[in-house]
Amino acid sequence: MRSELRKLTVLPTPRWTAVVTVAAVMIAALVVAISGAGEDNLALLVGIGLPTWIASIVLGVWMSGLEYGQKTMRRTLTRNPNRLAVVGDKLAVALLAGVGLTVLATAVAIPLFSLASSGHELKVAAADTLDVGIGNLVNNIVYVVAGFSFGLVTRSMAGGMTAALAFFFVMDSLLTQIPVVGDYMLAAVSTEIFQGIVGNEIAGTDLEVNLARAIVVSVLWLAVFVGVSTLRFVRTDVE
Amino acid sequence: MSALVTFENLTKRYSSGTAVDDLSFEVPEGEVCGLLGPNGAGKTTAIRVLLGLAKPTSGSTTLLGVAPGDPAFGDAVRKVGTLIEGPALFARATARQNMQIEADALGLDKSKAKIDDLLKLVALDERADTRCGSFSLGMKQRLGLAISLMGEPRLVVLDEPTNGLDPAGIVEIRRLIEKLPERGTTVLVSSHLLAEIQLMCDRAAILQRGKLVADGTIANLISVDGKAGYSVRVEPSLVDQAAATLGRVGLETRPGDVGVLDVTGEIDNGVAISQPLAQAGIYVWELTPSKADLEQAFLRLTDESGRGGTVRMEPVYPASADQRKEAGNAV
Repeated sequence: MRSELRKLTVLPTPRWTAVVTVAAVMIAALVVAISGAGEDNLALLVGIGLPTWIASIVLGVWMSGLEYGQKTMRRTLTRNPNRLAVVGDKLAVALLAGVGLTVLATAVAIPLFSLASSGHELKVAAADTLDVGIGNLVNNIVYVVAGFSFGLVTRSMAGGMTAALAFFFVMDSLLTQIPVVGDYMLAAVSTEIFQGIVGNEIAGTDLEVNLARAIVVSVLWLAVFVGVSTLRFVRTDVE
Repeated sequence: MSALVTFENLTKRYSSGTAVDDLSFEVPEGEVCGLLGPNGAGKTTAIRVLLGLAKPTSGSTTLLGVAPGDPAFGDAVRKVGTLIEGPALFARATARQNMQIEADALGLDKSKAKIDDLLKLVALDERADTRCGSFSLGMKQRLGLAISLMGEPRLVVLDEPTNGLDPAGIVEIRRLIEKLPERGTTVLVSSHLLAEIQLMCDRAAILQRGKLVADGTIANLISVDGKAGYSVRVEPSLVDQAAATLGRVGLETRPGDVGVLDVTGEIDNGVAISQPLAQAGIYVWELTPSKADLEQAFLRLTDESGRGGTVRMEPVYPASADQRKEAGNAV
């Protein structure tokens, strides 16, 4: 675990991901200061949600794909040949990074959005920003785990990133359009969980939420992601 | 003295073919042991199985007496330093940070002094805080070697540590490897560079197409082919005639470069070669004494492997450490 934390702190990708995420929050706050928050809370949802969502996928894929990109997996496994423990350590550190970054982005957004919206009629309450942050936090855990799994399955950082983005932005989103099946897609249940946490008003929708079912389906999705990727990792020879 | 590494009837097959075929040999403690063979001979695959990075198709290996899959294997492999197919470095981290990652992975506390010592050993102390992505290949190999020594290993496994290095870099790495037994570290080093193995190793196992073709001390491996001989250059069109002429007087010949024959046998001096050739009307252009070396032994042994099985130079362990040392010094 210590060596994974060391990689997180000394290698540049997590730092740059944090810088870009915070910069995106600040740009969103600037937009709010100029144009106002908007009645659909777009600045709030996109300003915190989208950057931390993408950052969570990046951090997840990075943590597993890094070793393949740098050809260091054999070094890692000769220090710890228990592959399940390696997956556990890496996933724990990836989650720590994803959660930490979402907390940081939310902490930056709360005062900035309040201040930026103060000159406009529609104010952004600190409590609302906090709710959005918490909703994102739960969803981002899903994105970190999924990104991590894609990196591990493809055994490549670039491959994992492409697969994860294609899954979330294309396949998963499109499949939610299919009746019944769509209700069980990750995008659909993630939206439900978010809506359940922040409430319909902030989420800008009045769709019915079945929070318990959404949580169970999300957990099942994560179990499949982690199970398949771990199985492949444990059973495959390392180049 | 115990064996730190054992391969027992190890076979590893891929869909594309057999990489290692019924390999058995051992690495005794306290020696520098070479794993020798051309590219594709199965050296890296054997090492990967040994370290638990690949699963064997059949047979087994042990590392410090423990097999991969055994609950104690984790402890065993952490006492082994590795450098497999080039140094596994995080290019965007500095040399020191790479070593800190290794120290953390080994659970070492207060590793700063140890890191400084090792960076000094490999002459990278002045570049400790430089990102290793900017290092030359030789510097990366040296850093990889330093990382492999981080945990005071009982054994280091080095796969082609001189690959891609210039002659000066090869000498640097060889000198570092030669020092390791003084630190109490046994070395298993694979290479396709015969001269390097001869210079740095006490013993070697020779692989060809995944099979072990010979195994023993360097001195014994060479002595199998150990007839020092001559290299004779004649008019290229007369090489076959020269070989036949020398064969008639009981000398063995092997084709060398164009117009060159390597001659071995009962040869007191060069006259034993030049005289029969002169009598046959073949003028000798050049006659050079040649010393028996591992290259000759390798060529002969790998030729023989096509016709037969493994050539064992001796029991796996000579009777005493002194004898082993003596055999090594005789090279």
